[in-house]
Amino acid sequence: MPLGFGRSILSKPIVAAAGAGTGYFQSEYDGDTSEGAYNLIGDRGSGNTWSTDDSYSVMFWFKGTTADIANGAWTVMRMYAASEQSHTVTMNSNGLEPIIQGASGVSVVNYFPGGTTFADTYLDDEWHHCAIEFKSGAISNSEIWLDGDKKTLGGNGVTSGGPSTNSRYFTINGTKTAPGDVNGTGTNFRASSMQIADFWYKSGDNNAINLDSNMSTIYSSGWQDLGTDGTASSTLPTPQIWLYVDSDGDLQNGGTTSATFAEQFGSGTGGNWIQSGTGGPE
Amino acid sequence: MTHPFNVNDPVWLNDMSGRVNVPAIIIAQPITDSNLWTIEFDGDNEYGLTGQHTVEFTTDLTARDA
Repeated sequence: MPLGFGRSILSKPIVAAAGAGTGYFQSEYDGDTSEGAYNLIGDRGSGNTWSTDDSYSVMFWFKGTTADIANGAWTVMRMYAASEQSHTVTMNSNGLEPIIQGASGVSVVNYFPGGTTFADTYLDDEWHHCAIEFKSGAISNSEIWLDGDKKTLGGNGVTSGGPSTNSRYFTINGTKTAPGDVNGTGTNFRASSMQIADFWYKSGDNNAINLDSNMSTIYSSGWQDLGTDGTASSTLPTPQIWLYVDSDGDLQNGGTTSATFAEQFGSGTGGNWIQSGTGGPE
Repeated sequence: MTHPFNVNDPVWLNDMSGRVNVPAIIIAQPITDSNLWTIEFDGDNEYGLTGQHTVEFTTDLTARDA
């Protein structure tokens, strides 16, 4: 065997048997950029709810431009149980803002670098990785990493407590405007046409994921295989949600919380819902 | 803290209540340890909103041309 051939094989990343992380999912707009894109809704079923706390960790890959955030801002994810009670991550052309609307207030941290820095760097139609550890209270409780770089945060430092109630639904890519057990009520607000891959979420996990220690496992000059359970061979805590599109183009949830994920549009016909087994951040 | 908007910047308000593309102007940036922006509605809007309003989330605001 030629030496060069052997090196090329050995240098390839090891991909889990089920092909975690090879693909992505995305909604396109149907022409109506305020409602006409799909939410991806995780439904726990009647009588069940998501479990949330005053902290959470979330990681995801995203690819797109400001044109893909056509509704003012992009609600990356939201557990929206009642008015002012939620776990929410939003992004716009200025930056990124995780939020907890809790029993005793609204806690916000954010990364807004100013000018057009965020859009120029991260909304350039290339894949980028975002990792967030968020705990309400002092801003220093929280971390946001983009492409393996730890960012300096702003925010309000408010202690919010966890949401006073939880929803049976968890929404990725947008939010319903009506809170609670929404499944068809309200409109699809702040859904984007961004490409999304490898979505990881765990509530009540601040610092347990330990981004300072584990970033090289999560992101190392590019995509890292976290496996079919999202733990990177038990290096990371077990997520409640671990969504990836496998090499067959199927959406897989390797998280521990039982839920059925399905796309849903708010009005009109909905745009195209895309699940691709290739073209992800790998 | 770096603020994405300055006083008197024209913005669109898209808030968590589902109000979309409401024209407004920044009146006051957040003070230390607060994330509360003061905006004033600018012209007509379909929601009948007038006067000044407090915005909690920075992502509720996006720049618009004057």
